[in-house]
Amino acid sequence: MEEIIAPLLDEIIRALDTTKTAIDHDTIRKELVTLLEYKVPPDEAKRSLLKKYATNDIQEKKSLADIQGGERNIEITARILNINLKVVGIKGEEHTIFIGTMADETGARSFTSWEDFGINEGDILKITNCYVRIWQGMPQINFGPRSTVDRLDPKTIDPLPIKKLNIPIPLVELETGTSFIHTIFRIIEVEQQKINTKNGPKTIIKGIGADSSAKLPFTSWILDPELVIDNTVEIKNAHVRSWQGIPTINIDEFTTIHRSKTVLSAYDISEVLDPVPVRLNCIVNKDGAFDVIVEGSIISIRPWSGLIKRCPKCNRVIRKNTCRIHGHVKGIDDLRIKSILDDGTGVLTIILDSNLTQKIIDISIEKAVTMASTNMNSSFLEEEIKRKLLGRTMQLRGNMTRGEYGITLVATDAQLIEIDTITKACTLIQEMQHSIREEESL
Amino acid sequence: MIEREVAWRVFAYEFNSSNYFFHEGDERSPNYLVTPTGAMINRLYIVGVFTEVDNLQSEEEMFKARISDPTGAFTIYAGQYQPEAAILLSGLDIPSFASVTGKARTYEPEKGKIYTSVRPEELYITNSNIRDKWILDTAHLSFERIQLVRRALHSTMNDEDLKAMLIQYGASVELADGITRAIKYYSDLDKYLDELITVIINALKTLLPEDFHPDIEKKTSKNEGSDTDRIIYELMKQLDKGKGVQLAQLVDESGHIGITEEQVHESVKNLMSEGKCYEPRIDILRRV
Repeated sequence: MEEIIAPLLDEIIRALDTTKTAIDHDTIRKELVTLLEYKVPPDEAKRSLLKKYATNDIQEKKSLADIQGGERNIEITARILNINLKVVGIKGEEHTIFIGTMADETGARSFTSWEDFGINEGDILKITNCYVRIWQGMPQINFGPRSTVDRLDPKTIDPLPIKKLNIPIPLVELETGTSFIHTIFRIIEVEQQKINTKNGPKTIIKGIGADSSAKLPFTSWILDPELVIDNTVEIKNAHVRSWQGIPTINIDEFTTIHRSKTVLSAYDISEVLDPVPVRLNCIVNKDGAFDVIVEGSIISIRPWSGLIKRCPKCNRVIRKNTCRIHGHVKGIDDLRIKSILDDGTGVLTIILDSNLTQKIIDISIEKAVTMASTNMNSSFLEEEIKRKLLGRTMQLRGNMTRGEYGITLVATDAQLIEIDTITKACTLIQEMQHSIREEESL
Repeated sequence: MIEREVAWRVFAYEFNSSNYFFHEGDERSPNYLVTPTGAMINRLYIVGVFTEVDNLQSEEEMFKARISDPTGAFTIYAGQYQPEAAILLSGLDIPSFASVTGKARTYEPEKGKIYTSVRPEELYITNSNIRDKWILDTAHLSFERIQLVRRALHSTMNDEDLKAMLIQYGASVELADGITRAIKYYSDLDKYLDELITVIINALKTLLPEDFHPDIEKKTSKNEGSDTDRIIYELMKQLDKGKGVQLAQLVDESGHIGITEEQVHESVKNLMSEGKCYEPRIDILRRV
């Protein structure tokens, strides 16, 4: 028993010390023993005692790269990279808040301060009682009246390395959830879009940027004359958030946009524009992939492929004309294929919409409806799809996302691949024979 | 959310010479069969020919079947928990082309004697085109694994560095893990890999038409081509200090014995098409 109690007690006392709580070791020890005798798990016992005796919340030190969203009572030490004042309406009243970006040695994140702490750019701060919330798809540090902000002397503490923030990073390395990014890309698609926001209609710019490593969509909340097609722009202090599962560069009023001194020519980005198939093991560990080409074998056709019905109100797939949200509805006929693509190195679910399904199985939706009614069976088409596709090699293009239902690629194009097995076999035999000789000559 | 396990491609020859089955973590975590080339198989995908189906007249309905590829045969067991596969097996014509997605299983009747088998999840009748493509894919992926294992065998790195290097060379995280395990577990791997390559080459040869004689054999035959070709071929050997010969150097040296630059280019072209030399990098030549 003692070997469990001693270290646990130690942890509890150390944690309580940090909150400057006056404590009586014997009382805590006695209560800890009681809890353990009641067969409460050690972690739960610790939590219970901290809750009971701590006058302040226990602070957990966190690095910026480790925050996920939803944490409370955390302590952050970071350098303020930039800070801006913003007036927002909260419950009908005007309120001044401060938003900006902070960085520690692990990374940079955006923050919101709900109080005026007199923070300046370049300050190194220790902030307690922070909480993390997900704002526009990114974890963001929040602090306010309950927090304490201590200014650390920049001389006594190691200057937090922010050098790498000054070097533009290639698009392929941008990760969802990072702030204060600096990158250079060429604009290959761009258009203005009118959207409705809380504050009325707003015009934004949506587009696609590319460098020699990747291409990514971007959204700009400001109209900047440099954001035009074929321009190479240098973007500082933008952030990357997930938009429909795809990392997207977000440009806002605090981002600086310049025409880049290094110009990316059409040739520099040509490989990215005309992508070659990637192996599945290269993408299935990522959060999402934008406009990729994959190739593999169709090893399984999932249920609810073929002729399906959708709810006319919410577009959900329904059965027996009953939507789980809208009850009894008259379903709309639709075609789709949901299947498993596996290339032996990775696996994902692929989804083909009505148009692609018609192209691949060469059956129109009208014909499918007629076939289903003459066969008195709507799963007839699912069987037909299995017969035509199982085992076949398919190449698809589209966006890959990771979600509740696993890794999914929604296809924007799909085709079945015919392979000249004789030629391929010859080449491979030669390569293999060559490798034997090479091995012998060593 | 639990992610779906990839379906590995291995030939029966390799599957049946695997005997490293392991399980880590709690009871819900998956089992893996690690093959000599480091495939870490929980699930696999096979396309082959059913050559045998038996109804094992045991207490419960259980079918045992053999599905063969050019290198050997996989054993498949399907019972009451695989009703669709069992029904299909019960009425199967022998032989027929079929594809199987399933889980790797092992049976160890006595210490050191391990039998591998497959418990099917999905089983479909298919055709020879799809089988041929499977042989090609499986050969390709197996060969890649073999090359990675060879790299691993030649390295002296610790586990973590080795995994990082293998991933750098294109291995998936699972394969890097599998290879790191395989090279520790299996003995005499170098010899095994040589055997496996020969087995795979023979499997690939089944894809070629019977009257088809690829230039593969020609590679070893000598005393062909012109005198100039032979001189250039000999020069390549003399000048090669282990990293190939620069084309410019070859032209220089040939110039001393009265062979023009055009002749050198012509000879190099001939030697390449005969499969006697290749160009590992641009303007670098090497004898095969």
